[in-house]
Amino acid sequence: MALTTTKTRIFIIEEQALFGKALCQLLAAEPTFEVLGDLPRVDPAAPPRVAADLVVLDLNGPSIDYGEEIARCRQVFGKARVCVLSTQLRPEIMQRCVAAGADAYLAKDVSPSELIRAVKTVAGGDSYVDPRVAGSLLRKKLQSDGRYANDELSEREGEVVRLIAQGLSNKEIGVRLCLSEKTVKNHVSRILSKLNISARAQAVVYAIRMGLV
Amino acid sequence: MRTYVVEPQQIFVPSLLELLQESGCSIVRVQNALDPLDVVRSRPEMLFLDGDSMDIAARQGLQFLVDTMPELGLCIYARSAPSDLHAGSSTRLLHLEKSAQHDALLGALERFTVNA
Repeated sequence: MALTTTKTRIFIIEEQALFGKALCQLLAAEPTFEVLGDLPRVDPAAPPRVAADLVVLDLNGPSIDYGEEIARCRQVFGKARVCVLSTQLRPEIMQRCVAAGADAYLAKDVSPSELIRAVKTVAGGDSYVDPRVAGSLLRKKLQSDGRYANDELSEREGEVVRLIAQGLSNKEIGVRLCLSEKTVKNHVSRILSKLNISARAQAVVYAIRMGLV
Repeated sequence: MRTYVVEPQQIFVPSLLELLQESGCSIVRVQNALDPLDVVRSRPEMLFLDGDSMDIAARQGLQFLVDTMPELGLCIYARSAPSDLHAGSSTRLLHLEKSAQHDALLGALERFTVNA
């Protein structure tokens, strides 16, 4: 009697062309996976005509809107599971991705065996988060006595911190982000409060530590 | 060309080494993080590194290498050209864009190694 196995159909979105090919080769070598193809980005205007069960989605770049990219991926690939690959090990970015509907979050420097394990986990209906990011998040939660601590800045607040670190005044930040000076001032107050700091110079240190500049 | 490779993305290393060897490079060492002293000891002719994965320490290490090994060819594989690297006039620098296809990367590497 012939045994039939259902393969997980995978599509890869990877801007880095050579890395995309490496991913295709790695995943295609796994007997339970079928790699349908790869593209550098998700384009709803020209969606690939494939029925993928799972999408490996590369999300990187300083100005990327993680939520928007994942929503675009969902729009194109429907109910496919989404496994985000990122160079960022920052818990707050992982949280943004999961909140936007990602089923897995992995750093791009994972080992090949860990990537395969993660994809299998996600294909099986579970979620997967890079243990380094999960561990970091857990430590922060413990340190903040059950509350999320200083990394819980919104995307806009992150932008404001980055511009503070570049030496811009509130007025200049307002011009750059098309906001009033008063709105920027409110953002700065919230940032100082969330980070539990009292001066802009400390926000600069935070921005450097978090790789925002 | 004796090439020292710094690439943290393990998944990518086999494809990268294949590309470098295809362009005529011989690999002297592959590391997942920049160790400037190990680079000095290995005496490569070219250093290949992922410019998007460098933290402040790695940037300082790279600047140290530029200053102390002016004959070292630098191949920076990154989304955009490194803006904070103060390369000397004799530094040979190649920026490979991550979005480039295999053939474009190969051509750029071949031109760079031939002109070394």
